[in-house]
Amino acid sequence: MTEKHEHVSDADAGFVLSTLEPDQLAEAKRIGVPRRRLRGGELALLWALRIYVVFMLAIVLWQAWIATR
Amino acid sequence: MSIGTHSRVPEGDVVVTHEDIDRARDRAKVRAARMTRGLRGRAWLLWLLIGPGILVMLGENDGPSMLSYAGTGAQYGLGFFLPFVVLTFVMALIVQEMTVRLGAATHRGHAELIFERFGPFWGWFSMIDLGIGNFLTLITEFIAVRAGAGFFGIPPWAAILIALAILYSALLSHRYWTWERVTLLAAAFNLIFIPVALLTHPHWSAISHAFTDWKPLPPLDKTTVLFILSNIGATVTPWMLFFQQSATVDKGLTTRDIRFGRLDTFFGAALAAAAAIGVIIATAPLAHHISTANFEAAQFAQALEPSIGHIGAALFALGMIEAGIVASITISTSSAYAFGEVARKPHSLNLPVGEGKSFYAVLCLCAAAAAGIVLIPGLPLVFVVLVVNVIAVLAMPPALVFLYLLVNDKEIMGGVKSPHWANLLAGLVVLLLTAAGILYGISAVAPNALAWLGAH
Repeated sequence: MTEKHEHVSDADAGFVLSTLEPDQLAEAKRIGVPRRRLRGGELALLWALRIYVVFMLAIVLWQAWIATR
Repeated sequence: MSIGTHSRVPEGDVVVTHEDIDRARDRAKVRAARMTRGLRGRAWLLWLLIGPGILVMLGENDGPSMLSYAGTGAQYGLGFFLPFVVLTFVMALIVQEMTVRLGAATHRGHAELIFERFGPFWGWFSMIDLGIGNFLTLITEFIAVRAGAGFFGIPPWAAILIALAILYSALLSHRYWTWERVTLLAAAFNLIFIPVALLTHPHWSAISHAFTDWKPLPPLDKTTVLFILSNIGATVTPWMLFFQQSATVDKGLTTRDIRFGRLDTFFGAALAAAAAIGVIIATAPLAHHISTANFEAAQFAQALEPSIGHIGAALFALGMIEAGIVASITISTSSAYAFGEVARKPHSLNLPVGEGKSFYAVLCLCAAAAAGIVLIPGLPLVFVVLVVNVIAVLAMPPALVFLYLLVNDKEIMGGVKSPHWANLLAGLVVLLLTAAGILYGISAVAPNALAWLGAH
């Protein structure tokens, strides 16, 4: 593995590579985490909670509108 | 991170940035502290590793939260809500501990993980929840600053400009460490509410009675349900998940630091709970004497003046200003982190402005836009204050399910995957939050049903 740095000295680069875990480098974060498929039960729970949020939000807005009138 | 710790780093060139150098300097200090034996070494290590937990908890003791606690004290006095607030901080502790583990194990922010692990469809849902919640909350922070400054006769435009100047100056160092310490120093002023509470010469027997048997109980009616939701929303909110995980990553914590991350979160919860209880005790003398509907910070301070004097009232108003300023710093930072993670732009407080243009632009623009809205005459700002904590409670269960799925994901968590007891507690928190939301829905749609529930 070769090292390339932007306006960074070799000493600094060596210090960084010996101090940080490989995944802590800013460059490493440009590579995505593999996708995970959600299972049926998980999807059902997420959809149920999404509907709950939308429904409850409508109630909150209605109540707040009444309160401010 | 467990997934491809070695494989995901490119086999070719490794690019080292200034952000990495700054983070490595902080980590080198941690390494040196670990090698120092004895109590001094432990204390030094703790000092180096604390930050995100205390900041997130004291940051959440923000303008609307303090107004909620003040309203609670003024409405119900000393009773059920004192231990209830402690319970809400226990819930916050359970939830935030998971973000410490997630950040330390994956070195990724919360928004980034949801997008990449579950795809953009669910990622955007989370981001919309976060974006709306953060922006509305930011507005209320500046409302608190404006209201608190009003006690001292400072005009709104000047109060808002001062708050923005403090927020922007915390960023000037372009170093996470300096930003964290400056914000921690500002957050320490949250504890100002404790001496204010002591100035009221509180009824210690009533306080101990409240903590031992949760009494007197409030009536189960619409107002009480609203206060229950406001107090939960004052402690457990989605931005806290995003902020603490991103700050943990930016600080550079690793799995070896999780124990200290937990301590940091515990200290934060304890300090924030003490300040919140301080506000309830401070405003308890107002119970049954005033109507708290649409009450603002300056009015609370003025109403308290006969019982705690001008200095006490001034401290209360100062506390409100501090709560607004610190939360505006942490919440706008949380928005900027999330934007950078999703847009795949550099996102760190260690970035020089040139390398982090989009990060700093989002942070500064969010704050400026929220501050500007507060200055527009005639806008129904009370409406925002009323709904912001309730919206936070409603948005929490879906956010917690994502958090639950992520901390139980062995592929990314490896050996620090959630144990069964943590899952059980997290499940209880989701159930409690959902039940509180449903109770609010019942109180709004069918108040008679709530009365029936109360009677039985």
